[in-house]
Amino acid sequence: MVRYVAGRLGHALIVVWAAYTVSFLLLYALPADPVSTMLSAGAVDGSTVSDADRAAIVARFGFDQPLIVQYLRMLGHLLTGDLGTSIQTGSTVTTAIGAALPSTLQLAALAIVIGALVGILVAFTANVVRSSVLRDVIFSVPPFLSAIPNFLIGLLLMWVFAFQLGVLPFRGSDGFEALILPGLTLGLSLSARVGQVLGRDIQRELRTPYVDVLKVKSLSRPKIVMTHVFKNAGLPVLSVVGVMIGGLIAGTVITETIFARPGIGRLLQLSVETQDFPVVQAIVVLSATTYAVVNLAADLVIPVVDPRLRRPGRARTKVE
Amino acid sequence: MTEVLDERSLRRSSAGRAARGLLRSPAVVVVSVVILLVVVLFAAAPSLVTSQDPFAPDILNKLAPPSAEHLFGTDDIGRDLFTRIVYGTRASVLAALVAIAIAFVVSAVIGGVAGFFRGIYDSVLMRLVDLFLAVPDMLLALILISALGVGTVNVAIAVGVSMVASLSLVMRSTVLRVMHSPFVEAAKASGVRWPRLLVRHVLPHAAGPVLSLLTLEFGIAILFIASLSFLGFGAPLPAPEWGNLIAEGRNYMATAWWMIAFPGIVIVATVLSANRLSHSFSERGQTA
Repeated sequence: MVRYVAGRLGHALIVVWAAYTVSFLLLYALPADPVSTMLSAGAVDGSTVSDADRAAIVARFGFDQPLIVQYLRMLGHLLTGDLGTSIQTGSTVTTAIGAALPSTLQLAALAIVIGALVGILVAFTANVVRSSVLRDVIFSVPPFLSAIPNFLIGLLLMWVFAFQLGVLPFRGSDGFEALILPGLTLGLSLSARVGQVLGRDIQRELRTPYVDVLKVKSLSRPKIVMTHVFKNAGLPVLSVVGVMIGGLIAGTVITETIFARPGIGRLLQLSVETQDFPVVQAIVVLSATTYAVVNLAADLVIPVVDPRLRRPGRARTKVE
Repeated sequence: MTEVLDERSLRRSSAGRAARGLLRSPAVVVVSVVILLVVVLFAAAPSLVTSQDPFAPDILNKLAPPSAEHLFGTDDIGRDLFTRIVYGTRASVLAALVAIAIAFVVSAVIGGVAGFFRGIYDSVLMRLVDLFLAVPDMLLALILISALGVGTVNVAIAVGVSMVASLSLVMRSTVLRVMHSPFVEAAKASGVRWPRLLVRHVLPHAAGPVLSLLTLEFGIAILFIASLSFLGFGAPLPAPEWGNLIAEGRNYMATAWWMIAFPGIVIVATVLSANRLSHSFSERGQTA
């Protein structure tokens, strides 16, 4: 068990390191010039900055040093919790992220709840309904949802609830009311993934011999699914949590942009636009950490829930 | 490279049966094919489909609802929305094709080498892929866009590269599955050398699943690129793209619903068609 935990922990650390390294290489090794972008954005009257001033700015961010030195220096700072300085605003990245985080956490929490509830509901009804036509219709809901771009779902919800019915605000982040539409937007796209995976797992599980035994014992289909199949089919869903986190990050960028919420996603969108590399990289590392921690938690919970995986030294079978 | 695979697969492998099978398949698949053909027509020859100018303003007719003259209505300065969507198709579809091409070539090499030669190549390449899998697709694309700058081409490159890692895994497992089949073992046992083994035996049988996969990835790329264009990372306005047309329509959505509805319907129809077609490819491949 100790070996298992240590292995998983090591894996989580490697994920964070990999995300840091990949983002560093792509941002700083490619021939991009964030300082020029900043200077051109700042030059309102078209005035030029002298070469000496330019060199001083470049030196301040350490862009004049060899790549490997920059890499190790930033890695060292990262380990002490220093995420660097925003090229655009000059304030620390930690401040910028700290200001944006609460809004995103609220959004993510609501989205996960909605995503899980709707996803489970769809997967459950799709497998329980008697009419095969209706079953096909419900089964096609998640793939259909995932073919609709996230921003379109958001705009559609906004059009109906904010503009036509006028019951919910279409932008901003004050109070719970402003959270409902963004939460639904993100939650519905998450539910498509959950619904697809869980629906398929339940379907597969229903073909196993023990289900036949239960049918012979004349248990009703909903009862079989709820009390017996769900436990077995639900486990792989824990592994889908990782996929959910990936979708969540992509989703916040779009959702927060549509609803003008000052969160991490919106910050990322602005930072990409202005080539604010330290902020972009910090957000990448932050999301990789979240992803790693959530997966670690899932890896540690699964053996507790599933006794078959409790034997030491046996890796659990990876889903997908 | 795709064409070579296509030709070969049409003759011999499951994809050939898949393509022939289309003729006797349900109406949904036919509709999907028709939709994709229309989209290709839009992209290839926009001037054949519409005679209007995508950039010509008509202030008197601004924000006009759909009518016989303006099929999809007009935008905030009176440009014909249908024309703008048709012209926007070229940028959006081409970007998706470029992205798929990049993702396919790179991942076919990585996955192919790893799965065909195994051993040290496999371990090194797969560790490399693991490195990139640590960053979610969307974030990887956004990192690349911050480094490369905005624009349709850069978006296409970013999307293509960010699809490579997960696609390499699929390519590798496809090749591995073929490598384990009896006829490959038989060929090996009878002393066939690796170039011939690869070209004659492995590639033709990997082509079917790959065709289905690429069709699916096309839909994903369309969605991905539309999202990035919506966020303002694609072509700068007034150049039309499916994504930025919707971003533009967002400002007028309270009054001019058609500005987001029609580009949206076009995107969803394209993605659903690609998904449906991919599904029927893989279904035929399995049963046939």
